[in-house]
Amino acid sequence: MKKTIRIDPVTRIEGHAKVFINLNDDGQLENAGLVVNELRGFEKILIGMEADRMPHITARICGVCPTAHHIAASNALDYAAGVKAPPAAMLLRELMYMGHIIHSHSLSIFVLQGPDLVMGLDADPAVRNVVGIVQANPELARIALRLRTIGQKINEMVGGRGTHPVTSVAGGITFVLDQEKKKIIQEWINEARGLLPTVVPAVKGLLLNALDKHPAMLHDWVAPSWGLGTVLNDRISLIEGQLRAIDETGATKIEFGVEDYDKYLIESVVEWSYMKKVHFKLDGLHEYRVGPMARMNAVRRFGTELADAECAEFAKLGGSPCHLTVFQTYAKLVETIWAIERADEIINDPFVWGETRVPVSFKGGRGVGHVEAPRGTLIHDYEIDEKGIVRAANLIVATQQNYAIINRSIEQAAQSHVIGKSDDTALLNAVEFSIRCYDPCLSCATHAVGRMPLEIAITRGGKTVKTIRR
Amino acid sequence: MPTTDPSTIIICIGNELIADDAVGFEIYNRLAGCSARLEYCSVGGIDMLPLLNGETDMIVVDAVQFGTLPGMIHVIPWDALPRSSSAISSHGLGLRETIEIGTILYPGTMPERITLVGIEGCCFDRTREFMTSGVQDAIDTAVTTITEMVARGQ
Repeated sequence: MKKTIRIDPVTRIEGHAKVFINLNDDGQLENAGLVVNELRGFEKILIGMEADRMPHITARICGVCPTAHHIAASNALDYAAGVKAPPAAMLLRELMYMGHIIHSHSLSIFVLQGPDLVMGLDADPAVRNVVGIVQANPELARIALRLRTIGQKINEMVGGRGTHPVTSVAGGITFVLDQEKKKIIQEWINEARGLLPTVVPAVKGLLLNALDKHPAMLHDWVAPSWGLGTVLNDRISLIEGQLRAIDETGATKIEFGVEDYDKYLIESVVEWSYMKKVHFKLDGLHEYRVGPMARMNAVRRFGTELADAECAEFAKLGGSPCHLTVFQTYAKLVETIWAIERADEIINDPFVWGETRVPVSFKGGRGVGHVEAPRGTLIHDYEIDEKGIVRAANLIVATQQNYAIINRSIEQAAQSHVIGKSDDTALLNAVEFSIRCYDPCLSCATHAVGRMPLEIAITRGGKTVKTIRR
Repeated sequence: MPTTDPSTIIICIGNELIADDAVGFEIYNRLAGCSARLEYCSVGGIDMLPLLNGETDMIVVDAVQFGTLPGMIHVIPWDALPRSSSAISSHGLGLRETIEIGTILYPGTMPERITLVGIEGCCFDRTREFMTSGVQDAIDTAVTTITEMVARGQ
């Protein structure tokens, strides 16, 4: 008789995300997956709005990655208007974005994955949480949160608002740099640089320690897949450049402009989730990964001293291309280093003082733009009429593209920690951890008061025989 | 224009584009001009901590799901809130955990009294026009409740 194990992270938003693990009659894994009930209808509310509102409106989709939507929308409008934002505008958009990356990755590394790394996967959930990590190492936590705050300050100063930036617009940016602002930003960057010698070895040490304790992460939690990242001038780029797809061996299969994304990225509906998954179409359909590790696999070079040195260390430890799920954390750390160095480059680039806007008008047509969001490639695609009104919108987000790999990682976690074992806590921990490595954006309304984040219902023949709640 | 009361901060949380989640944003707009310092966070969580400047009182306004009727207003001290367990996404860090972290890391800036004003919601996967009528109707009462709390100095 079939057995279904269901994991329900019942956060404040009831029924928000669930994990199912289906076993066959022999107790072997049949399939597993994450059920995502995303916000419905967002693309529809954009229809009928003035196109030039897109950077402001879409930034409000998500409180965790608003700057990614803000700049993807701006890039799409530039394309629709047939203009290129001036070099100074692109540099300032990128500076804002580096602040966002520092802010977002700091949260993901320290708050989300930190408890697993500091406490270990087998730790009691009562202490294996973010409060536990703070209690265990308050000095590291204080430094990590300071790094996060610095990222937010850069994002806020250049973006005009902290939570929902407003300055990037079609044709450029409204932020005006002056010497006083440059001095303040430089001080923040210097402070962030000064934190790296403490943060980097600490996070790497925790990661390597976790691998020692859980060797299955190195041997079994490996998910070879294609990868997608953005390249500009032979280095990783986050807000402009060509998309590069690689296969499992790291060989480049194709490079293309984002306007051709729909030739290669094929969405399909799955019956158990609102979220559509995406495959890469080139000589067949391929599962692929986006995000920090995919970017490093695809491009392999940052172009700054510290990040490239750490990138080499990453390849030495995890291989190149790397398919170790747990190394997503390490990839975020390398990108954080790069974001600080790149912000330093930008603020000292003489081109940052140039013109920041060009005139824009919409004559009707399509606008496609993208960024590499903290969690992976984010694409905005609008149909805009001759009056500048959005008539259709399509947004491809990172979690959709990582969906197949997330599900494969859940299967692997189940294989190594669930099959043939009766330890419910190990099951919960391993499955949670495998999902956390991708930090999926489940919906953008999840926050504040949580209760019963985990619920497991084990059913046989459709009947629940056991329910475990944390 | 009333003078800002330096002893109280109100932080309203919620995504203005999402049905019942927008209630925090609606209340934020309605509280404009109140005597307390007023802030808005779309997600809340740990981003609230840098906003604190040593106020004695903090009121957090947010949509919640405690299983009651939509629109019910819950006024709860932070340490009576249910504890979250681990999250699978960085979108989900609880208020209680945020306060505990702040108390450990930044004891000098944490308020003495922290109260959640939670408005019971039920629709979080649709857009703003689908705000539940009970939640919409609770906005006035919630604003009055918060204004009275500020006047009483709590």
